[in-house]
Amino acid sequence: MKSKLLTIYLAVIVIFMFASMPAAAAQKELKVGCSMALSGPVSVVGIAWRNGALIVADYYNKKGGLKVGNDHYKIVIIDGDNKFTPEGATTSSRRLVERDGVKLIMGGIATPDTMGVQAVTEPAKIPILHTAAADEPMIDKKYSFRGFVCFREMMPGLFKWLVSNKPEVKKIALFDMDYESGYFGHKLARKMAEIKGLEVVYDGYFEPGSKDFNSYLLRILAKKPDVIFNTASPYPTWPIIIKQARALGYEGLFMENSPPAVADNIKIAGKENLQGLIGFGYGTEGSSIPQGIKDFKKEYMRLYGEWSNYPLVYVPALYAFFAAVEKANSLDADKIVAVLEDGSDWPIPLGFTGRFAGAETYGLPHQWYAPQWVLEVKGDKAVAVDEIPISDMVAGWD
Amino acid sequence: MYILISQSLINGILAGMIYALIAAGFTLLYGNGGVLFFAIGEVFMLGAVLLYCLIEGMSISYFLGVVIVMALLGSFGVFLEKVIFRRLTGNDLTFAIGSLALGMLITGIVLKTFGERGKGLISPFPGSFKIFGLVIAYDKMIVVGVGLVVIVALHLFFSFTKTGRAIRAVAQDVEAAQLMGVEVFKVKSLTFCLALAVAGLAGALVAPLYYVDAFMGTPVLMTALIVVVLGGLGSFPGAIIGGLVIGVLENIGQTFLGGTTTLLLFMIVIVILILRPEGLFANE
Amino acid sequence: MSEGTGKTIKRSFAYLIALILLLLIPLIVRSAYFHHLLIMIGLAALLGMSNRLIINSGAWFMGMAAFYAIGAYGLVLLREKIGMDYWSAVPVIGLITATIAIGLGYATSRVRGIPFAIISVAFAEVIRLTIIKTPFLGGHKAWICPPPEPIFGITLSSKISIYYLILVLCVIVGFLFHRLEKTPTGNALMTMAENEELAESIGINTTRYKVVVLMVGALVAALTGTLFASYIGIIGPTSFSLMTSVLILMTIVVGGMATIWGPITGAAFITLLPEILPGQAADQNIAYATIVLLTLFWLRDGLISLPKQLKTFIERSSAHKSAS
Repeated sequence: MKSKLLTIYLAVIVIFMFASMPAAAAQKELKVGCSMALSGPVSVVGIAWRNGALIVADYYNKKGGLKVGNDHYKIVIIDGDNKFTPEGATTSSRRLVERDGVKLIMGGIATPDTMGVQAVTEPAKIPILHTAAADEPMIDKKYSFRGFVCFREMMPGLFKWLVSNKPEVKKIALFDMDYESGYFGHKLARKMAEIKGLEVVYDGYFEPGSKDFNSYLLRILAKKPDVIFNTASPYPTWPIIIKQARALGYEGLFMENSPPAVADNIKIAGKENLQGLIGFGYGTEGSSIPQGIKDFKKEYMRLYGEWSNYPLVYVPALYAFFAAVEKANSLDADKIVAVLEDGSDWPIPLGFTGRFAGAETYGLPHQWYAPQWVLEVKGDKAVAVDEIPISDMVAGWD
Repeated sequence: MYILISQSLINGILAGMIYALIAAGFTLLYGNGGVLFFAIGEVFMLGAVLLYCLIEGMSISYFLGVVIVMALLGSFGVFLEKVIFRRLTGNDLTFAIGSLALGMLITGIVLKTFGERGKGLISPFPGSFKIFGLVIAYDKMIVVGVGLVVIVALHLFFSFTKTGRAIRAVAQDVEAAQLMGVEVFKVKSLTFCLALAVAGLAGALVAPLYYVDAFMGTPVLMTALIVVVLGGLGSFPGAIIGGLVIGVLENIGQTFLGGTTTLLLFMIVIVILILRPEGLFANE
Repeated sequence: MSEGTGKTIKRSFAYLIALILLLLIPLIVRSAYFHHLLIMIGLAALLGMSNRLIINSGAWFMGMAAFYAIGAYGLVLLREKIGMDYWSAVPVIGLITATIAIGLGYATSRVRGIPFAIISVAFAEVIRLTIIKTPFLGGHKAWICPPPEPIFGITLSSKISIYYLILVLCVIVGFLFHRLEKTPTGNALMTMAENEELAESIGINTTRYKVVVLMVGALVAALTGTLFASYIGIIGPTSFSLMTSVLILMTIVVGGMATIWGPITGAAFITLLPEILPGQAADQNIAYATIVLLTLFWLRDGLISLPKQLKTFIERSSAHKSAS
C-alpha cells in the first residue's frame, strides 16, 4: 500500500515537472510579467495598474507591436499575483521569469514586495518598473526603475503652490497610516515644511484598518492646523478621515500626495466636505490637462466600466518602458537599461514628456520624472490648477 | 480634556454596539454546540455588501433593506446549519477549520461579484447635532438605536419565550435539553439563523457609516474573539456588555495610548483565558 | 512472519528509491522555478508536520505562524544586530523558542479545547503586532537575510543547497515523528488526545507531555523559519499573518492527520494548486476553500486516504454489480 502511495507521489512529481517547464516561446511575443498585488486589499491598486498596462500594450500592439530588428513583437502581459508579501513576490517573479519567459516585469507596488521581486530579477537581469517609495530598492539595483513621481519629487511643487496660493496656511498636521511609506512621507514633509516656513503642529499615524478616526482627529484638531496633509494613504481611508474631520467641525484644508479620487470619494465623504481638497498628480479635468489623458480615461472606462486615478500614476512611465525596447532595438536587458539611462526625453502619448534621471539623488538615473499638476476639487471634479514642471521637482530641496 | 474623553466615550459606545451585535452572533454559535464560527467577519461583511446592493442596485429604502438583509442572512444561517454543519461530525477543530474555509469561500465569491474596490454608501441620515460641546452624528445614533432595540428584543426572547429558553437550555446541556423534550435540531437551526442575522445586521448598520468592501470583515473576527473571551464564551449578556466595554476601551485607548491598543487587548485575552478559560464574566 | 519482514523490506526499498529520486531531481530538472516549488513544499511540509504533532496530542494550536516568525526574525536580528552567522544563531534561536514555548505550555496547561485555540490565535497576533509596533524589530520594514555561511567546507549559498538542507530536515523530522507514534510516548500522546482525564487517571503527566510537544513543534517551526528567511532572503511581517497559520492548518486537514504523509501531501497540494489553477487569486481561494470543505465532508482522513477510498468505492460497486 505504501508503495502505491509512492507511485502516486512520483506521478505527481513528474506531472508538475512538466507543468513547470518553460513554455515554448511563441514567435514574436514580448512577454511582460505583472508581479503586483492582484488579490487582497491592495489589489485596488494592482488591478488598476494592470488594467492600465493592458491599454498601454494595446497602444503599441495596434501599431503592429514593438519593432526590434526585422521583427515586430506583440506585447503580452502575464499576471503574477504576488499577494503583497516578499515570498509571494519571489514566487510570482520566479514563475514569470522561469516558466513564462518574461523579459520585463511590472512590479512591485510597495517596498517589501518590490524587494522580493528584485531578489529574482536583479540576478536574472530582468528590467523592472516598480513603485516602491523607499530608497532601498533604488540603490545599486541595475535593472530596477521607479515608475512614478515619488514623494521627494512631488513635494517641492506641491508645497510651493500651497505657500503661494494659500498664504493663510501656517500650521500643518501630518497624518498617515502606520506604515513605511507614511514614515518616509512624514520625514520629507517635515523637511519641506521647515524649508517653506510652515509649522508642523501634529505628526502622527493611525492603525491600518481603522475606520473610526475620531480619537486621532480630536487630538489633531486640538492643535488647530490650517491643513491636514496625508502623504501616502490608500483609498478609501482618506475620504473617511475627511468626512469625520468635517463632522467634528474642522474647516481647514486637506491635502494629499496623490490625485483625489473624486467620483469614489463623493459617496464616502460627501461632496461639500471634499471642496478645496488639494492633490497632486494627473487629473482628468481642466483645460490645462492634455487631451491624451482625457482620452485614456475614456478608453479605460469603456473597457472596465469604472475609473479611479490609480492607472495614471503608473501608466506614463510604462509607455516609456516599453518604448525603450524599440529604441534599444534589442531584447537584451543591458541594452534596454542603457537606453533608459541615457537621459533622453520620452514623449508620452498622454500628451507630455518625461524622462529617467536622478543619478545625483539615487546613484543611478532610474527615477521617472514627468510634469505633474496640482489638483483642487471644485464641484464634483478634481481640476488642474497649476502645472509643476520637472525642473521644480528636484530644485525645491535646496 | 473633557472633550477628548467624552467624545471617545460616545464613539466607544457606537463601536461597542457593533461589537456587541457581532459578538452576540459569535457567542450564540459557540454556545450552540461549541462551534467556533471563524467566518463571523465574512457574515458581517456580507450584511454590508447585501445592503449596498439592495440600496444602490434596487433602490430599496434603508430600513427595509436592513430587514431584508437580516432575513437573507437568517435563512443562510439555517441553510448552513442543515446542509453543512449538521453533517460535519467530528470534533470542534473540524468545525473551526470548516468555518475558516467557509469564510474564504464567501470572500472569494464577494470579490468576484462585488469587486475589490471599496464603495461608499450615501448615509441615509446625514448631519449631526452638537450637545455639551460634543458632536453626535444622526446616523450613528440610529445605529445605536437599532442595535439597542434588537438587543432588548433578543434578551426578552431568550428570557421569556419557550423557544428562547429552549435555545439557552441546549447551550447549557444538550442531553438534558433533549430529555426535556426540546427538539435540538430545530433549536440549532434557529440559533444559526439568529446568529447570522445579528452579525449581518451589524454589517448592514455599519455600511453607510464608512465604506463597503470585501475585506471589511477581516479585523472583525479578532474583535469578536476578544469580546467573547471577556464576556464569557457562550453568554449572550456577556457578549453585549463585553462588546460595549471593548468598544469604549478601544476608543479611549486609541485616543490616549495610540497604536498599541490591539496588542494590549490580545495580551489581556491570553491572560484572562489562562486564568479563567470560560471567559471573564461567564456565569456557567 | 517472513511475509511481514518481506513487506518491510519492500517498503524500506521504496523509501530508499524515493529518497534517491528526491536527492537527484534538482540535478535532472534544472529549472530554478521547479526548485523553488520544491523548497516551498518542503517548508510547508515541515510546518504542517510540526502543527500536526501538537494537534495530535490534543492541543488545538492554530497559531503556528508565531513560531515561524520567531525563527525567521530571530535569525535576521541576530545577524543584523550581533553579527552572528547562521550556525551560531540557530542554537540561540532554539533556546529562545524553547523558552517561549515552555512558558506558553505551562501557562496554558490547564486550558483545553476552544479556549486554547483562541489563545493560540491571540498569541500569533501578539507576536505579529509586537514585530510591527517595535522599531527595533523592524516594524513594517522588510529585512534582508543572506544565505547560510559554509559549514564543514560545504558552501550553502545556492538555492539548490538550501533545497538539500530542507530535504534533510524533512526526512529527519518526518522519520522521527513517524517513529514517535509507535513508542510508548506516542501512545501516551494519542491517549491524551482522545481523553485527557482518562490519560491523567492512568498516570500520564499530561502537562509535561503537552509542554514538550509544544516545544518540539515550536522548535521545528522556528528552524523552518530560519530556512525560510535564508532562502527568500527578505522577510516582513506580512509573511506571518493569521492567513499563514490558517494555510498551515489546511495542509494538515486536506492532506490528512492520520499519518506523517498527510502534511507532506497537503503541503504539496497547497503549494501546487496556484500553479495548476492559474487565474485570479479570488478563484484560487474559492477552489482552496471548496476543496477543504469537501475534504472535511467526504475525505475525513485527507487526500492520503483517497486511494483507499477509491479502492473501497470500486470494490463496492463491482460487488454491487456481481450481486445483481
